[in-house]
Amino acid sequence: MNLIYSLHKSFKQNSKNQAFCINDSFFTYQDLLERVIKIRSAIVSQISSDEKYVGLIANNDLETYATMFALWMEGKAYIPISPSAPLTRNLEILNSINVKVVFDSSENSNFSLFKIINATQINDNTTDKFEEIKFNENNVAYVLFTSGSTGAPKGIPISFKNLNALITELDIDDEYKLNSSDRCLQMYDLTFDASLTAILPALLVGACLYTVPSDAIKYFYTYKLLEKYKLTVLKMVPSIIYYLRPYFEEINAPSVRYSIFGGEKLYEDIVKEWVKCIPNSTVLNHYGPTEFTVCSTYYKYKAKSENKSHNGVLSIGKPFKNVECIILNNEGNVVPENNEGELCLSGDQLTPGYWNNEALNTSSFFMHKTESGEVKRFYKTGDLCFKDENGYYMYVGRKDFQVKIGGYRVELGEVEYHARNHESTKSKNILVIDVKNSSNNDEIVLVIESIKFDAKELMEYMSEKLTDYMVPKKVFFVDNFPHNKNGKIDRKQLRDLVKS
Amino acid sequence: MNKEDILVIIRKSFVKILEHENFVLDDSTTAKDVDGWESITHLLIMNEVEKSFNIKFKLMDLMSMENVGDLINVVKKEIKN
Repeated sequence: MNLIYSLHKSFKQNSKNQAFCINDSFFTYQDLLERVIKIRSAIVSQISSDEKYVGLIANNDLETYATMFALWMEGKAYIPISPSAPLTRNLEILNSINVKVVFDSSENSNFSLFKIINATQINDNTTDKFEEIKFNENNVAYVLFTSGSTGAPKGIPISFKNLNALITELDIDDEYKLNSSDRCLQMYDLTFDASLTAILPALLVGACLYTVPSDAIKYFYTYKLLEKYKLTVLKMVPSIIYYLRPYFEEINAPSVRYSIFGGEKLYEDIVKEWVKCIPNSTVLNHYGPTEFTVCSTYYKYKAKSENKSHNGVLSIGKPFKNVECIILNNEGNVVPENNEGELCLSGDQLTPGYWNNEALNTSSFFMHKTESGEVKRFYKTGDLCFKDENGYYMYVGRKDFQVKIGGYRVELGEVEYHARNHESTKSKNILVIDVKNSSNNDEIVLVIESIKFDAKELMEYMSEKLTDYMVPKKVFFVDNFPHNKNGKIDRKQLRDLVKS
Repeated sequence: MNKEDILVIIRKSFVKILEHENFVLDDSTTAKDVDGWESITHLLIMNEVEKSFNIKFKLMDLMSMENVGDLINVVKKEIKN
């Protein structure tokens, strides 16, 4: 499937259908297409053809979504920028790509260092004459930035070839078939790639997307949309149901046809309770790193028979048809069934490589001769997994110090880097660890080896440097870090220490 | 239980979850006025308030709360029940 042509066709064919419900206002596909046409016209007249990368402030409005598609149709990539993230971090991202133009639909833009185009203010009466779609599968569709262990966010470009491969896999998969009468949840910020598997399958069939504002309490707003609009497709991070769990008794949503999770570990016992709230729904657990274009494997939950799980975490299932998975040990050899190792992925969804990061590209990607004798390029996910005798992949944990907070990847090293840079922690040992809060969700805490001091300024400093989900929720002071036999800091013991 | 007594107990729940006391709670206080009161801690605070009064909020009540005054009213309603 060619994503861009198919999207364009869907916008035209479904012109009278509702495409978006944003803050309780509905917009049809015709509205969306008209915005796309105007924005394309602005792109052609205001951005030079060799400017391929354009910043997009991820606001919750029709213009922002229309800009994504307009940029794609003009052969350009969007760099999503969270309006709530610290400005210094956002500027670092935009400058690292050498972005010159930023689309910002905000009333007052913080990005005046760049050429700003406000898509709500484009006065162009162009109607649909337009213009051939500029498509080249090697063009980049978007660049997402995730937490980097050295202190700077790392850029992951995804090409149209990658996106087409993802959409094709979803399209040929019989377990997941949306239609034009579906009402689909869109709870993700555009800086999170899971937004694409919420948005694209819905818009390709003429269904309606119900968006969650970024400043809303996501689990409440999701429930509100579910109740008010009787949503039929819920793609969510698992933490939404972890928070709603104490109130499951009140939730009865027979309208839901699909409940899809992704971005975090999905616990089987909670899903077992959740399916009672959505008695008519198929539950799918998606897995995939951003580097492999959103989703690479999935598991279908069985409501009436035994499920595959490991340590209470539901299986991540089996790879898509054209995705190759291998599990390697530390020596780089494929491990036998039921043996743990690092999950590595190969296929057309694989990113061309990190943005300007030779060292990381060398360490993360490698060539490997597969069983068929073909030599293919693979990506090391950093996820420890094993494959059982029936070919199901089980998620075990991370190989490194990356954690997921609300589905977002956080390198503890990046948080530590900024914590160390503050005056108050000079010549003190610090460590950032992940702990479970009382809702069983992961949160980040900072532990300082020191007598207690007022950490208010330190936390303010970290809030200026890091996106809110990366800022430690608590600070603990300990006299001495516990060490294991090898002299390394014992993180497990430290976790127990801060819990008590 | 009068409003002042309810507020004292609610405040204890806030302190327990947020681990600081640098805030004043009155009817008009919202999450914006209290350091650390955000979407993740919100439900933890609500669960703590439920425990303290031995009550259970309705999801719809929780969703319509805009400030501490609303919270007090919902607690009052649940205590009566």
